[in-house]
Formats: sequence, structure tokens, C-alpha cells
Amino acid sequence: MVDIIWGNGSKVLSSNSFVLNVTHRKDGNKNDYSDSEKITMVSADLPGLPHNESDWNEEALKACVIDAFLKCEVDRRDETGIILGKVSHSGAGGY
Amino acid sequence: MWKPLAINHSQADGIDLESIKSDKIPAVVIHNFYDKKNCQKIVNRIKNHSQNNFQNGKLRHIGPFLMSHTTNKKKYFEGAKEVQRTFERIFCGIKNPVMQIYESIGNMLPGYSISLASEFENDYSPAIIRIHEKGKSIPIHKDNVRYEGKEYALSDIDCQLSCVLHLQESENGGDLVMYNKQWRKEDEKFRNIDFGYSSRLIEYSESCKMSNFSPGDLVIMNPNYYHKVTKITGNTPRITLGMFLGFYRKDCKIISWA
Repeated sequence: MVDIIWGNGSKVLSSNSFVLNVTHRKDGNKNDYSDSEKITMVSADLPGLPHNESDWNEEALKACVIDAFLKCEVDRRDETGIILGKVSHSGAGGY
Repeated sequence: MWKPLAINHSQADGIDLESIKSDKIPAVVIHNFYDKKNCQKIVNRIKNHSQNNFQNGKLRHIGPFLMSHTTNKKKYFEGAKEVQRTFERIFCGIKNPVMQIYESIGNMLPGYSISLASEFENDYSPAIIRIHEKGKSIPIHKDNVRYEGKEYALSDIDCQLSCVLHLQESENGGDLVMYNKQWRKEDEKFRNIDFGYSSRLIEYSESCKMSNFSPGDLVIMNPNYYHKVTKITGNTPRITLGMFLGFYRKDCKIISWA
């Protein structure tokens, strides 16, 4: 089972990385996560973000992640402390 | 006091939909909108549509829901095509409730055209039938295709309304609660992990609880206002048919989808 953290996206750092303000952590996560984590997306499932990674850019990422509530399935943390993971957004609704 | 406009079907043509888009009223409830006998026929056909799953409480809905396919349009449109065939069977020989809603909305807004949304020759799903069993509740949420459906062409609509036709009611619970607070993007910090929002978001907002719906009642509301459905506590499942309306003001055009 992978570690999972949730939160709202804030500053975009590059075409595939941003800062996540962490609000929720999965019970049973193996590692600790601070309230603000830098995330590099190894894959993404975000409405509005091009499905092809080569088409990602900072503007598109800003539109998709800033303030949005995001789920990050953690792959690993690199030597600089940045988290690499899959980022997705869920918004299913309806009464 | 913030309360819904409750009317009978014969009064529906006079509804001012602008009052729902704004915060003047939480919703319009049109009693006896759809024939009760036809509601029962539809419910019986739903049971037959997937009898084993229905009896085991596994059948939760008929038809895809766009918000569950925000990044997978192919799957959504495949499901939309399939459910059109299912609805042909379920509504065979009786008035199609989606068409009845179109006619009624058309009468309320005579200058507007109304049709099923389509994109590159793919029809959107016309409706979703939801079957909510005992114990089910729906937490505080909003529906806003402009935000979450941005990969779909219809996300450029000016305004969204929700239509929910009640086909079968549970004995207890399943009440609709609406809050006089519209979603804003900043509210995303109040999101729950799986679905919906923290109740902290609406703790100071005026609310309105709508109960005692009957089969055939139609509820029209602005789904960008926070709303929830209370826990169903009766043994009979609550069954509804839901669809959205999207408005293009400049073109005087309404599109529908689920």
C-alpha cells in the first residue's frame, strides 16, 4: 500500500511540479509529511491537464492545481526532499 | 425565510427560473409533475433491468455520470450511448420523463431551444437513475461542470441547474437539505477526502430542508449551492432520475446532460 496525502495545490514550480498544502494524511502512512510538500508528478489524472505529459506546461498546471483539492499517491521522496507521485483530483457528485 | 416554491404541474409554465439561479429561493418543487403510475412502471422495469443486482442492493445507478468521468471522456460517451438503449426499454410505451422535462422547461422559457448536449457527434448521457438504499446518505456537496468538467465542451455554459424527478420514496429519510451558500474555488480547502465538504463550511449558512416528496415530484435547483441528502432509514429504496440543464444566455440555448 502506498502512502497517500491530500491537500490544496498552491505555487507551481515547473511544468510538472508544485507545492501541496497538506490537509489530510492516510491512516497507516509509513512516512511523515509536513504541512507543505513539494510534489513532482510522475503521472496525473487532472481535469484540464493534457493527457500527454509532453504537453504539460506551467500555465496549464496552474489552472489545474492552484487551490484545487488534490490526492497524491506517493511513489518516493528524492534526495532533495521532493515527493514524486501520482496526482489526481476527484469531484464526483450528484444528489 | 428561505423556502422552496412548491407548485402543482399546472402552474409550472409561470416559473421564473432566474429566482432559482439566484438565492431568492432554494428550489422549485413541482408536485405531480410526472404521472405516478408511470413512476411505478419505471421502478418495476428498473427492478427487472437488473433483478439480481437490484435485490442484492448492488445496483446503485443506471447511466454514466459526467462528474465520475472527468478525465475519461471516451468511457463516459460509451456509457452514454449504452444508457440511451437502456432508457428506450425502461420508458417504452410511456411518456419519456426527460422529454416531459424538456417540454416544461421550454414552456417556462419560450425563447430558448432545449436539446441533449452533444460533442463531436457524441451524445451526452440524457439522465442518470439513482437507487439509494437504506443507510445511504449524500454529504454536503455542489455540482459545477464549469469547474470539474473542464475537459468537456459544455463546461463553457453560463449557468447550470439541476432537475431531479422522484420516482420512488423511502419511508423515512432521504430529505434534501440546501444551504444558502454558493461554492467558490477557495472552498476547496474544506473538501473531504472521498467526496463532499466539511460541515464547517456551512455552519453559519441559512438552510432549507425539503421532505415528504412523492413519486412524480420534480425538484429544480441551482446545484452550485451546497446541498446534501439525509440518510435513508426506510426499507424502500429512494429512486430518482437526475439531469442537468446548462444555459447559454447569448444564444438562448439550453442543453441537458447527466
